[in-house]
Amino acid sequence: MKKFINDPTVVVDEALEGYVAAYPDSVEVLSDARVLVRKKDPSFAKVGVITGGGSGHKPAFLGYVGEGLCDAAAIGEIFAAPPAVWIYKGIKKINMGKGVICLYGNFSGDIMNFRMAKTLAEMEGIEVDEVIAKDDIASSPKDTMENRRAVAGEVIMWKVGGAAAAEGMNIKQIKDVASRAVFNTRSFGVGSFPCIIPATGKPSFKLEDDEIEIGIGHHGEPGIKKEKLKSADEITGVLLDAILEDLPFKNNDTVSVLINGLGATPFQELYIVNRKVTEILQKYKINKLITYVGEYFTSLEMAGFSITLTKVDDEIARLILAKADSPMFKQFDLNK
Amino acid sequence: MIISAADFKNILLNISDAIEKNVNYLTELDAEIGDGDHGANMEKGFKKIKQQLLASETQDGGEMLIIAGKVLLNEIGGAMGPLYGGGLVKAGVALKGKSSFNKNDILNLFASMLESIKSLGGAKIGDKTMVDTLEPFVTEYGKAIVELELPEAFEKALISAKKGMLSTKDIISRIGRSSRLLERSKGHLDVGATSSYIILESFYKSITLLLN
Repeated sequence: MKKFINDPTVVVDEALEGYVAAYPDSVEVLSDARVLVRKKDPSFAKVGVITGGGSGHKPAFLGYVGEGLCDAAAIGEIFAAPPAVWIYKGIKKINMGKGVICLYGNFSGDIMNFRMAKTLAEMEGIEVDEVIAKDDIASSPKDTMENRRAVAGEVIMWKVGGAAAAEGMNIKQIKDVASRAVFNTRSFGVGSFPCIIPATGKPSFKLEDDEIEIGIGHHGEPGIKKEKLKSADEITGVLLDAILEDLPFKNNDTVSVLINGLGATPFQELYIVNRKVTEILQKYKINKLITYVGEYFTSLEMAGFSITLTKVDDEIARLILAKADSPMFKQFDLNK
Repeated sequence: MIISAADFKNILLNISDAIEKNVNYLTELDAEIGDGDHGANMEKGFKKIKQQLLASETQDGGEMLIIAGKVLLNEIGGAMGPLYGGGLVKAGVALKGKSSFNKNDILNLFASMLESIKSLGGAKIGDKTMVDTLEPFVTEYGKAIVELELPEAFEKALISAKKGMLSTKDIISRIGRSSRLLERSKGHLDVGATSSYIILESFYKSITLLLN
């Protein structure tokens, strides 16, 4: 292991300290729980939006604490859910009397801890609801899609749910629109090099030099199969065809596109992927609302990428194009 | 056999040591079909449990379990925080006020823990989880204590627990992170089933040491 760290057991704390030191006007950490919150209160009482999960996914989760996105993120150890008590403290902190919505990914640890936190908050009369992203088509067949894990599709859920809360929607309206966005989001990824969890110091999986893992998970979980490395166009074609077939996406649909690097793949390669994605979407006459290319949800230093497509209706399109402003995700209001 | 509060505390401390000793093994198992953090998180949790138990002067065995459970619940997170943490707290509540344990109390301990784990995680036998170790243990132990003393009953139940743990190797996972692997989860021991076995085995070793 060759990492720029001091002590493997405090990696998450030290990185968080550095993040807050970089953006002291935007965010702060609660004194008694590892929860990052917005420093400035929203200008009006709105539904609070909280996310959270394991660390190692920078800029997720902390990078999405900001205007038009999430109000808080509970930060677990590397790849492990944050404890329920922290999430509960975050919910209490951001509740402005309108309730709090939890937007997180479909992992058993996260579900257990978020649900325990929800129970604790509800005992104090705080209205809490949740939407759970499950966008990774590689992780379970379509007939058991409720078992699918979340990958980069979480970013779209935060964007839509966060913008909905910023518009002043109530908790039920936010749940409806964010659930619809989740339901219409599909992701598929590929890994070419493993990541190393600092506490273990070992690669999370093994691949031969000329091998790739199709359907890799965000924590290095094995995917569907190992294959020989192919050209970017061929791999992109395989991933995108499976995504298009799964929803299915059809002619004249409008989609948002997210090409996400997993940590060690150069942006140059991500753009090569996007070139092919654009060509295929044109072939099927599918319209692009907006394209995001970059590192939105990584897996430490894993190499690889994922493609995420969301079919949008007018309301979801408006919320995706709405203003967002966090240290790691800035977007002008593109509806104007 | 009656286990005193002081002995019970030692049993818990020994479990912490057993987890620490097996951290690499657990990490390797988890990396095969999970994300490889089980060992490290369990080690971190049980180290803290050890610190807090050593700092506590309580003579109440139930209280000791609650202290241990709360450490996992409040500070560890992951799936193991709520599963083991919630289970320990539930067992602690069931045994609160007890400064010594007979064989029925030990049944109560593991049965409460199992109940909490099953209701929170929703797993049944055959789902490739810690339930595959714990449920056969509780069932066998409950039967065995009708005629046997604590150590003999525990030994018998531990054999069932081991069988249960080993059975996870050939099961296709249906729950938790590895469930998405379907066929590929076959051939690997479940890490939760394994850590549960390590805990039971350590408990048994401590009992036999007490007897000598």
